[in-house]
Amino acid sequence: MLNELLFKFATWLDGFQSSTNLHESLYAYGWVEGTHVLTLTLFLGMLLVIDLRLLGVSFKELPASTLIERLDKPMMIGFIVMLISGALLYFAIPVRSTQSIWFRIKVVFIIAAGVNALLIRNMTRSSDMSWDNDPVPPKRIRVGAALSLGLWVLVVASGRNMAYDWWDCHKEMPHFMYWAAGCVNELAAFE
Amino acid sequence: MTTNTLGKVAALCSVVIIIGWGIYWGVQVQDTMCLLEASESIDIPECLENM
Amino acid sequence: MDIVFIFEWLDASWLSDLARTSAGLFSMVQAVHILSMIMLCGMIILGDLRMLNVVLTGVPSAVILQNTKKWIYIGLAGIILSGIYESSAIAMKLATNSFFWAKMAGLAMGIIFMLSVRSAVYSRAPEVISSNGSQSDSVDAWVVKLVAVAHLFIWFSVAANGRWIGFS
Repeated sequence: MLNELLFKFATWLDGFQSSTNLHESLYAYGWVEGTHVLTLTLFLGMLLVIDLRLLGVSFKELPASTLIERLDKPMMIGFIVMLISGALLYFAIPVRSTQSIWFRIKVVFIIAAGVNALLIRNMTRSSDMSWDNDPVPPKRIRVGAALSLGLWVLVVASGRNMAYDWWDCHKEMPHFMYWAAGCVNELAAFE
Repeated sequence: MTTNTLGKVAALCSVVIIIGWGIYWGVQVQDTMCLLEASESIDIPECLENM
Repeated sequence: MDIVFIFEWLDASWLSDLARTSAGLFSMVQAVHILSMIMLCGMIILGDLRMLNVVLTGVPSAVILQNTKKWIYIGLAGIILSGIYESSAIAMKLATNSFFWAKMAGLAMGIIFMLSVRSAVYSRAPEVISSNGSQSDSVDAWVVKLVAVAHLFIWFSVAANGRWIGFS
């Protein structure tokens, strides 16, 4: 089962001394987490500008393609830093992260946001971009942009909730939650 | 205010800001290194007294 | 000037009671604080990187700066309101926290600098940076870039100090 596999992977990562070092470090973990949070302003900040244009709410004087193409690089630089810092944070506390319902929700929303971004990209590429200079793009594009903003808001919120232990495995919760969070040991104790 | 004066005022303000925050972060980094040194050694490092 | 009484008042307020009791609501307000930071700092970064000629070069700077204004104000409002809510939960701790005061100093500095020097200089940027059309009376390009760097430095310090509060 997927939960067992993920738990095995997390436990294997947990075995590395570097994982423990990072988690218990006086400052390194803090710096990585700080980088992760602050880089949001670059990554999601640029995406916000693009989505506001695609919603027809702001930057309407500029062609949509100008913003999409030319803000792509800073956005991607931000995204790469987010990925690296995020991976390090996961590596520092792999078991709790894997068994965190909020982390799992966050990953699902990130994947959804990625799929949405690909769909928007396909839509813009397949169309002749005749709407490029229109202040308000077609409905499909606006829906995609709204979804993009909504999904990333949910990513940020679920990421923030990871710090709270409301649904941690050691807590008493509905049986379904133990499965959803991948609390493998607790589920085994039930049987 | 003339544009010339604005340029000079802006440049001065900016330099003060950059140097000021630069010193602030320099002190923070110094204190961080000191605390790290203190956490890793048995003896109390000299820098702690200056903090 | 002793302003600790403000923190004492906040610490004893109904707002502080609410902030301390409902963890779920608190985390939502924290998320609003982060999202407001993304909006505020994202728009600031866009404007300043534009004036450094790093992004969207050749695109009229007046268009970009004008469009970022509304979102900067909305972001500021969100960040201040959510910040007050968050602060009420740990008011007395913050009153003696040096990173909090550094953050507040940075916030004040950032707002004043943005509304005064940055605004005035950017509107008088030379054509080589602004691409707004030739301007008779403009500041030197290096001054524009220096202002952009200083502005980014202030807001980075606000955000970094804010994060450091969480670790202290």
